[in-house]
Amino acid sequence: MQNPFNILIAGVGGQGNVTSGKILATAAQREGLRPVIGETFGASRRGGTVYTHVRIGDTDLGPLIPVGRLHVLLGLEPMETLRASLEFAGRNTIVIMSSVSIPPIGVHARTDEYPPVESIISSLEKMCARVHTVDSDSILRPINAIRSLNILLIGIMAGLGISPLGIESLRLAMLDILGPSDKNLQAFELGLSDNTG
Amino acid sequence: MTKPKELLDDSKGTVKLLLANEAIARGVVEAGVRLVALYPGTPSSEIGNNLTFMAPHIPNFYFEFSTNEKVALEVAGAAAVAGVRSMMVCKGPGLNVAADPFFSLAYVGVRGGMVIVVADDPSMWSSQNENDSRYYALMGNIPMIEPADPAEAKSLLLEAYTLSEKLELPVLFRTTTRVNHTRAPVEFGAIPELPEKIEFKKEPFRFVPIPAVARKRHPWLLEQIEKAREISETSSLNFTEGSGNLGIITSGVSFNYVREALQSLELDAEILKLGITHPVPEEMIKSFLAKHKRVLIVEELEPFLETHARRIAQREEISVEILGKEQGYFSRTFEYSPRIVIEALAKIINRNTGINWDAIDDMEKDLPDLPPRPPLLCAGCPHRATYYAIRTATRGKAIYPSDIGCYTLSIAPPLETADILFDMGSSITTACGLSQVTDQDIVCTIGDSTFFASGLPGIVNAVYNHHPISIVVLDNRTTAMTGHQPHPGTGVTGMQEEVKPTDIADVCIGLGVQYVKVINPFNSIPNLVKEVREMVSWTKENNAPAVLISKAPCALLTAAERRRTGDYPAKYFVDSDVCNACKRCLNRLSCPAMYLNPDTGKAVIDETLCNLCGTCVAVCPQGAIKQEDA
Repeated sequence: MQNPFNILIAGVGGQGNVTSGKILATAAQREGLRPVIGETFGASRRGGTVYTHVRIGDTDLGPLIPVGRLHVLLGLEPMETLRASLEFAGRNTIVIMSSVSIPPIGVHARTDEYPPVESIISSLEKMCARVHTVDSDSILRPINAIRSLNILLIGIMAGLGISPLGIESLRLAMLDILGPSDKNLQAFELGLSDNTG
Repeated sequence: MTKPKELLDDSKGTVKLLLANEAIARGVVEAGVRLVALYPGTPSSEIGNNLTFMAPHIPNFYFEFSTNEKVALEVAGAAAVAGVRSMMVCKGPGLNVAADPFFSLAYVGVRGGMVIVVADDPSMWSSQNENDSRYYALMGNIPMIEPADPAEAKSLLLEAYTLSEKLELPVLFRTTTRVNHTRAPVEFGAIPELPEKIEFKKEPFRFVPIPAVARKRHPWLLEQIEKAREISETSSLNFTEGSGNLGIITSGVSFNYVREALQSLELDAEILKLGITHPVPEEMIKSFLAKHKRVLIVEELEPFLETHARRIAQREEISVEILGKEQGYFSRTFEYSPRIVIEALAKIINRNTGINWDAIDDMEKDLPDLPPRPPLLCAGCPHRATYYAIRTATRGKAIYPSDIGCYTLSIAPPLETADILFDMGSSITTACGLSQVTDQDIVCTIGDSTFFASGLPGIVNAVYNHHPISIVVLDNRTTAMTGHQPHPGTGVTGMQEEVKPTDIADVCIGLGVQYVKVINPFNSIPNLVKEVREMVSWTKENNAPAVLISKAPCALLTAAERRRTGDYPAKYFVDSDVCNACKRCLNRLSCPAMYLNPDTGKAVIDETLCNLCGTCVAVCPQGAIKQEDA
């Protein structure tokens, strides 16, 4: 494992960003590792950009991931994934991203333009080692679990085996933090078996 | 996130993932603190948010959300004077509010241990300035301790109480956002029992600082701070780590960045990490400076430790190169990051940073700017309706003094109803000043919690000096911005008891306001517009202030209540047959629940986001926004 191993969760307020950080950190504790989480948000209101830094190592660490030293970027929203990537990603970063966009308000008022998702993906591909995109709505809508997007992405990360966090540690950490939920368990399983990206 | 009750777990040795703010709340219990008083302020908010739900389960413990920080410091200060352990918590600007008792408290001192937690906010994630509270310790001669992470947030808090009792002085416990909002494993210690009521022993010639007393207390204070300096010299909270030609002095979260930077650059250096940053250990710093040819100072915001180092080097005639902000290696603005520290170190040792950041930065150049995603008033927020009405009634031409809360977000288009703001309560007082030097209409807005915190003196001022200003109180029944803490208007206390709420209209009438009205902003937008117009005319005709209380609960509280009861009003929708795609709803309200269908050019309501306030119905000139039949 890269020591420390750095995971960033990027999205929009209300998408379960902070919860995801707690799940990853709890899984790290289950693996006998030492996690540190840095929670970042603008004025503490909903709807803005939110990043959660999760750092996993064997010693005490600061809460922020150094630019370029990001290993896994979990992107809950395409434009926020690109924004986070520009701030933190490097050649070794693996991106796992939902392709379902949430346009910011300026886009609705037609003062801003939302970049096409394909161009976001190609920008990410230029910057990062690998980009795994998932049409999360098409997977989660049939099981009526749109709000389990964060769990789906964690499931995909677990299935790809790219982090020091094992599948069982992540599953148990999720149950620890969120309690037993069929929808979350289903979303996690669907993530594990996802190979669309 | 961690449930407040989990913070009361009595099993010593348990390890939990805690936010530093949660670790401080746990520390309160482990330190045997008897009373905590605070006014909420981010980045310190989670301390009170946890304590309020822990408090009813801790025997002999008292917690309150005080009306403001000055009140909180006086409440907690008195408890410590009486002889029990106490705590006051605030954000950086909150200590400015509490500055008056802060300085007096140092003169009279305390009998029980007292800690004042102040959370500074480098980068201003949620504050109006990034003033560096460390200078309060220097100016007030109050010892200061700074933790670097969640584990230290608890362990150093326990040390702070010991130090406070040894010196009979309150201790400033200074954190920064990046410490408050870091989550890491923290090990629980034992919980002591708390004393029942104690007897206040009179000692007026100590605790009443009339000049004759104060003249004796000031030399005493200087003696105490000298004792503190001796403690600081040998305290394990100030320590060195590593070895090398280069010396680095640091404290707080920067310590972690320094460690990581050294590792990243594979560089050897000796670090002096200070946990007690006032008074600094003079002898320790002296020998550290003498030992190294070059010493780098890494600290966010002002050159506080740097100035100390330069002072000591000058006095002791030590020939050492002190590198810091004065030569421009570090900035005096915004929070630091590992990259900032790595780059400064690389520059000093004339080495490559090891990561090709230029290449990473270049990638951004090829991309179009990404649209920003600013925080917005929530869907269903009553402030949106009120500001829309204020703006419509005054055609955007009045002056709109604003205040501190979620509603300051009305600065952004399309509401644009925030023109001037200094601090808590300044909406009313700046309106007073403006009303005397201009003939423009003035409509100021203040939230309910801010009204109680510091609005009242402004109201009295406006009444007595007859300032013709319109005051709109945005009463959303909570302190929304910092996470829904109760205030005197809500009827709930910090101990989670139900009490009689203080009525804002009654208060205004009692203070002598002749024009006081209460209105629900969701009842009728056209009527709300009319009310604002009438109020503005009344202030001009009567040359006196008027108050309109716009009262409706925060949208997040309403949504939670509906989830609890299952009782929802009928849904709203845009009738696309009637909509003529004028986009007035999108352009005038910026509601997060409305979006543009790019194919039709018409607005759509996202029913998963809509909080069913119906404000948009009144905004549509076509009558295209409708409510489904219930």
